Formats: sequence, structure tokens, C-alpha cells
Amino acid sequence: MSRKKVELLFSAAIVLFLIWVVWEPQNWPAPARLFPWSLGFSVLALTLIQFVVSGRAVIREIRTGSVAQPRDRLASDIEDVSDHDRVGDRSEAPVVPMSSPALGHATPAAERAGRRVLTICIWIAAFFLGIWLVGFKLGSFFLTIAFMKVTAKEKWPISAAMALGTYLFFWLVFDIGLKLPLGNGLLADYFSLD
Amino acid sequence: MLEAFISGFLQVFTLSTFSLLLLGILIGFVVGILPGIGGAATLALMLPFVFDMTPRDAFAFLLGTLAVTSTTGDITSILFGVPGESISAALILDGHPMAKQGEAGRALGAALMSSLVGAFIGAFVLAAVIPVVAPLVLTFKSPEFFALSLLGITFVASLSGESLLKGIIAAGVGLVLAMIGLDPQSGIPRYTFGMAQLWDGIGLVPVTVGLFAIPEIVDLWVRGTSIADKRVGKLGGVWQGVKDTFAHWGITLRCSLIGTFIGIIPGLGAAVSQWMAYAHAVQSSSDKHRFGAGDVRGVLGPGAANNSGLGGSLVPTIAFGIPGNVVMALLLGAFLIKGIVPGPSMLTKHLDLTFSFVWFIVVSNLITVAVCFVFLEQLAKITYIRGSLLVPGLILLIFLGAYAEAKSTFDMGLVLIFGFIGLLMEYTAWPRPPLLLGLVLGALIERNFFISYEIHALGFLLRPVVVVILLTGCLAVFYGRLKSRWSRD
Repeated sequence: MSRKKVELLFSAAIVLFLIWVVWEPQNWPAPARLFPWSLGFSVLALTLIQFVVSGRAVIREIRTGSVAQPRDRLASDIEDVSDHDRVGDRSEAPVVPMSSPALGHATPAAERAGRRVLTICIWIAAFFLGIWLVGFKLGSFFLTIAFMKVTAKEKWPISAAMALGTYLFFWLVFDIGLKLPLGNGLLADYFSLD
Repeated sequence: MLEAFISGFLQVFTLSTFSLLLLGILIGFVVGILPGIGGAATLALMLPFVFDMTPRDAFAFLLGTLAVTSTTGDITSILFGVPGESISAALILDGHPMAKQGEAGRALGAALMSSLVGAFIGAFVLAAVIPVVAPLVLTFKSPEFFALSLLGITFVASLSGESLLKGIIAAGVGLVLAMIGLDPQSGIPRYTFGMAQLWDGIGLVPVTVGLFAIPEIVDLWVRGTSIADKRVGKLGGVWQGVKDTFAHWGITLRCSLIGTFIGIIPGLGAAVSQWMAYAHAVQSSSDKHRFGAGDVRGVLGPGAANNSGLGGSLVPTIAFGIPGNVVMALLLGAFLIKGIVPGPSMLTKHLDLTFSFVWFIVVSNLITVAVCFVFLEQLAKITYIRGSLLVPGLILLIFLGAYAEAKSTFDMGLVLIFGFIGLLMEYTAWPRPPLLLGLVLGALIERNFFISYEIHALGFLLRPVVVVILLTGCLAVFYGRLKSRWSRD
């Protein structure tokens, strides 16, 4: 999906959110709804204008069939980085910045970048779940080692050292240093474990 | 008075005071670097330890801790794009892009030196204005606070980048988000989905971390490189950043004064002043196109402002016992623990203690910046470590930042939601800073509007100070627009 279409959908989502914002206060007392309504209606009006602007841009894009010359832009994005002395990169990695217009187009590099976005988003959610379930210390240990081995494809010694390092960090700084334990997660609470 | 000023300076260097100052600096250093654990949480944790200390030692310890958190918070913002403190978020806008371009050393040098200048200015303003500050603080009542908050909103124009309309909408959405929670007038829950966790509203930290840090982590992973894409030799050096601070001395000085002034006004603080300072840096520059892509002036402004605020916010706390923010309320607790009543006695009986506050801020910032400079080149090298090694640590840091403030898993969930929104905003080129500015100012605007309206009806808009502030806001918006039009012609 092109960037302009995503922008249109995003504008539509804000419009829906603001409709809810002005709908919700109907039954509130007058002083409580004054501010939400005066603010909500004016921002809603502006967002509708933005929605129309985004919609027109999408229509223009469809009519002209111009997808902003994806190949040229992608090539220039890659050149931008490869021209310089890049450090720490891995040969198979797609060097496409998040802000690159090339991400919105169906080219192999963009598809690879899209997959990487999805992968990291899943990992971020997994870290959240892990910390929620087993707390920071254990969660960070297991998820770091899993991430390093499964996705980053690092060697065992590095993965183990990183995982142990994060565990020790939370234990030393919060349990020992600050005396501010971060909790052991939902499962420990559920099974009454310390 | 001079005698008390010198006596205050000498008191810093007694063995017990200086040792506790160093201990405070060490704690503040660690806490500042870790996201989420702000000055308020640290002060709350440290308060029980001051019971057995003398007043001078206690304040050396507490102010030493506080004075460095914003300085070291800047380091995390610049290196990782994760705000070390909520008052360091504006540093991400230009500081992190500089780090990506291999100029981490320069950005850190600029941030630290501008922080030092800001801290000096804030501290010396504290020393200078305490005897004469009464009329200023007493002039500001709800109508003036309302006008000041509106003035803050006018800075959206400078924070919007390419699209002013998107910027205004983002600020509006921020204002709407600020309404979540219990209504200040009637007490009914607004937009809370029946969840008690939302009764106190949405925290600034999870929103900031989500909006800014998650897109940076995703970007780092997608690029598949280290944080810095390139090596830039000497240009990326720390000393270049130091020189930048003085090359752009006007921005550094003005933003320090903005931070101090906003700090003096109770209820605002560095969370607001950093954005105002950033917007001022953009507004006052003739070439704006590099802002947001790694302009050192975008580092100098907020760097100076967030550090100068401490001196400013101590003014009403010491002079009147009016704490301008949560941190100052906790510090007021320390005053009470030590049996000291803030107010006129701080200008007579305890004048040397008052002046020692100035020196605590100055000395602790000097020490912190000196220590940072020793390790800065090494710190900057973190940006050359390959991304796959940094990503898990960064993910843990963002969740730690969200969790640590309120020890709430709910806030970690908010990070996910705002992270998704931040990703979409970055992808579709919607500006994120206005949303944050709206969120920070929303509650202030609403509360002060209602109080002003209840007391004066709409007549409050005609109060002289309100008129001056509103006219300043209009002037700032139109002058900025006209200036850029003239420069185009």
C-alpha cells in the first residue's frame, strides 16, 4: 500500500477518533463537556480538511498512476547509505530508512524491509508479554537470549552474555542498588511465588 | 549579602557536604541515564535518608541528585532516541539524527556544554532574583497561566515541519488526550473506557517513549546497521559541539532564560520549556531546513532550557514555599523534614543556605559535565555497535521507562499503543512534537481557563499581562511566517 493511502487511512482513523470524542460527552454535565466539545469540534473540522487533502492526493496518484518513481527513490536511498563508510551492517540487511518513500512500494528491498518491520514489532510485543508474565529479570533473560539466537542469529557466547548481562543489570540496579524491586510478573503473583 | 554568597560557596567544600554532593551526583547520573525514573521518583526514594543529615548536607545530597538527571537524560535521548527523562525528549529531534550521521560526539558535546551554561544561568538567576521576585510571581494568576499556556501552543507553528495543518491537528489530538481522566470540575471520568488506570490521565513518559523510541528501534532494525550510519572523523568530535555552544551563543543564552523563566512560573516546568526552547531555536533561525534532520541548534536550545529550569523552579519554592512541580513539592518536604520554613526567613536567617543552593547546582553540574567529557568519546562509540546487539537492550529500556514511573503494566501497554501511533506518524510524515506539546499543556489550559472564567468571566482576557502575553504569541506566529516569506522573496 502506498504511503499516501496509509496517510488517508490514518486521517480517517483520526476523524473517527474525534467523532467519538465529540459524541461521548452528550450526557455529561455542561461544564464537563464544554472544553471537549469546543476543542473536539474544531479539531474535527481541521481533520476533515486534512482527510480531503489526503483523499485528493490518493485520487491524483491513482489517476496518474504515478507511484512516485519507486525504483529511482529506492536506489537513491540505498546509495545514500552505501556511499558512506557504513559501520556494523550485515550484508543481507536491507538498508532502507523508516522515513524512506521507497518503503511504500512493492519492490523486493521494500518487501524485505516490511518483513523486518513486522518482525521487530512482534518482538516488541513479545517483550511486553514476557515482562508482564514473568517480570523484568526473567523476562529480559529469556527474551534477550531468544531474540539474539532466533532473529539476530548471534553466536551462543554473545547471546548468553547479553542475556546474563540484562538479568544482572536489573538485579544489581533495582533489587540491590535502588532497593526498588520491579516485580516478578503476573505468573509469580498468580502462583504466589517470590 | 556578598558575605552570605561567599559563605554559601565555602560551605559546599566541607568534607561531609561535598561527599554527599558527590554521592547525590552519582545517583542522579545513573537515574538520569535510565529512562522513566525521573527526578521526582529519585527524590521520593532519597527523602528518608536525609532525616539524620544537617540541612546543608541534606540539600547538597538532594540537589546534587536533581541537578544532573536532566544532563545525563540528554545522553540517552541523543544516543538511543529513547528519552532519558521526559524533560529530555526534545533532544531526540535533532540529537538522535546527529548520532545516526556519526556526529554523536558533537551532539553530546553541545548538549553537555549548553546544559552547563543553562545550569549556570538558572543558578545565578536564582541568586539574583530571589530578593525581587515577589511581584513577578504574585502577578501570575490563573488568567496569566492560561495565556502562557496558549503562548506555548503557538509554538506548534515551529514544531510542525512541512505541514502546519497536520501540526495543528496533532496538537489538538494532544489536547484531547490531556482530557482523559477525571474532569477537574465535576469529577466525572472522561474517555476512560471504565478503566480506573485512566482516571489520573495518560502519563507523559509512556506517550513520549512510545511516540519517539519505538519508531527509532524499528528504524534501527530495518536499516540493519549500527545507530550511526557513517563515521565523520573530527566533525563528529566533542569539542566541535562545545564550540557550537558558543558559536550559537544567542540561542544558548535565550533558551537558558526561557527555561529559567518557565521554571519560575509554578505549574509549567522543563517538560514545557524544552519544547518552547526548541521552537524558539527553529523560529529564530533563518535556515530552518536542517531542523529535525540533525541541526546542532536543535540540541543547544532544549539542552540549555531543561537544565536552567532547576534554578528557576527553586525561586518560588524558596521564596514563598510554592512548589512549581512535583519535584519541588518533594523538595519542600525536605525543607519541612529539616524544620526550615521557606519564605522570608530564607532571605534573612538562612541566606547562606539559600546561596549554597546556587553553588550546589553549579558545582554538581561542573563535576557531571567534566566527568562526562572524560568518557564522551567512549560513550559516542556506542553508536557504532551493530544494531542487533543494541535492540534487545533498547526494548527493555523503553518498557523500563514506562513501568518505573508508576510501576504500572498498564503504562507499558500504552507504550505499545503510542509506539504504533508513532510509527504511523513517522511513516506518513505527521509531526510528533506538537502532539506532545498539546498533551503537556492541555490540563494547564483547561484548568486555568475554568478558574479564570469562574472568577472574571471573559474579562480575564483584558488583563494587562494576559494581553501582553497573547500579543507576544500572535507576534511570534506572524513574525515567523513573515520572516520566512521575506527570506523567500
